[in-house]
Amino acid sequence: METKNKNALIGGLLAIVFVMAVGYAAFATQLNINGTANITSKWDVHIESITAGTPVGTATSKSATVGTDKLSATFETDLVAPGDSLTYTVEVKNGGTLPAKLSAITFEQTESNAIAYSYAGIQQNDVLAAGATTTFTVTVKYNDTVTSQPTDADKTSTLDMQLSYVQDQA
Amino acid sequence: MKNNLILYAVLLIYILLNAFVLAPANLPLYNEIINPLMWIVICGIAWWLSKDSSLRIKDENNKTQSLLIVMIIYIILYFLLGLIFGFQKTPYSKDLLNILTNVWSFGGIIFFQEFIRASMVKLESKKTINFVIIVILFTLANLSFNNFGDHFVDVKETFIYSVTILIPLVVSNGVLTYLSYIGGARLPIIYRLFVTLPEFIVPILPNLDWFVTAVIGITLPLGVFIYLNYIHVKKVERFSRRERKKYSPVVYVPIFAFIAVTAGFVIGLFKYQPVAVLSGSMSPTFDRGDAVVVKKLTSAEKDQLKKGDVIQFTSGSKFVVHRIVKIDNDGNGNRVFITKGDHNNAVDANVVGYDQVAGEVAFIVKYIGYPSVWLSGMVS
Repeated sequence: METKNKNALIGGLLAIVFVMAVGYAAFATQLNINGTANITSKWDVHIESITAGTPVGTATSKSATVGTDKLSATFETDLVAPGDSLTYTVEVKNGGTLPAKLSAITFEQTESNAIAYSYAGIQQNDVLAAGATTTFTVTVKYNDTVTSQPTDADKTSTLDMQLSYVQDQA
Repeated sequence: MKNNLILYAVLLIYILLNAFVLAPANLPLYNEIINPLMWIVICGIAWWLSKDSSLRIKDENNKTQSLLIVMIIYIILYFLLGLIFGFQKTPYSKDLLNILTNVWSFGGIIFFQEFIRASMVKLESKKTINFVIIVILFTLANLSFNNFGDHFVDVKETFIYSVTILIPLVVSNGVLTYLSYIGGARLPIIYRLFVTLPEFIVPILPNLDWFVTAVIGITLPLGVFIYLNYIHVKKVERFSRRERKKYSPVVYVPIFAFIAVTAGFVIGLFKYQPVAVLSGSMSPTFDRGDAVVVKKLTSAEKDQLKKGDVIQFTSGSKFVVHRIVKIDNDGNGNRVFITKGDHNNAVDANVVGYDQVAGEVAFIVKYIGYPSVWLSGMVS
């Protein structure tokens, strides 16, 4: 191919990139955007471990698994009687070389009238320095205010947690 | 040779210092000042040692244009993948000053590193051992040693880390060194800027899983190598028309198309997806180690399911492939399926809801599921 033709091809391809950029800007709200990426070449914030604590009452931990994106986790707990609770300790590590800020922490729980969760030791906008580790707790509890016998569906709670970290601005 | 030995030693000192002292210390301004400064110093040494050597580079502009074409096509395809897999926001700051700092911290060192690589190539352009040492040193220099051990906790993590990071890094460093041989520092700089900078500049990135990341990480450098090698051979070597044809990238188009289609098939982009059989519960219809090709079903097709069909459905976090032995009603007017493995004595404990059904087995391929069986055996 001649030099001129190649220049024309480069120009054409750049025009496509430009059209894509304009398209993105115009349709940004309609694109399917799922949270914040955490696996890139220089960025590495991840859940290092989750450990279940000593149960209160007859609570048992069925599973606590870290998702493939390493920043989400699913807790499955069996709670039998009001007052039962279980606390998980979650350890998050910043293995990259840039400071990370927690931009969001979200919980999604399967519907249950009797089971409530809470977390402590972490909040939005907490900064995790490069190389640093932080721990926080997630507690799943059977409301002791519930007096009626719960249905079977109420006894097991599945909780999905998602952490989003972004670069802390200098 | 002596000059290159000095450069090898300097790079090795950098790698050790970086891996064991500087990176674990998480010093302030490491990315912005300390790391680039070290590369500038090595760059100065490389310049001093190689100032009397030279490498004859032919047809540089044509090679540059050809590489630009490949890299722009890569960028277009990369972002188009987002339309299939969805997008994610980049974690990097979108503040202009921070973007510039990131571009300096991670793009700036590319210039210094590639100048050093080109100097090493210039100093010893005939020996294969020099090529190998350059590839090894630059692979180590670009590997992150923070949490290095964490990637090898089990077989699965080791596998994913190897195919997404380690192998692509070695392959791309091989190709970058080759580019340095045929075009000096300019070609590898262009390649790396296109690969590295988008995640710092563009606010959204395609949300690719590790499998697609691995396929791209290995096919991109290979594609660049094949095309640039063709351009190089065509102009520089005195080959006959027939010999040149051997290097033509057109020869490789079917191979790359095959890789793309196979990758798409395996990850389930198409209506049909292969699934390895990990248990013997459906014997003798199909056995452990076989693979079944599952046809994904639409709602209309799910309504057509009948007793005797073999379906794939979700059970907890796993997929199960069993036969429908009875179709029932859940009391709310929804169809539910009672399933059983052909080899099992009893029906499955849980009924399969309409939404749990993923697909229907279209056909069976004997034995090709064994690699998955071995791999999952090692993982668990």
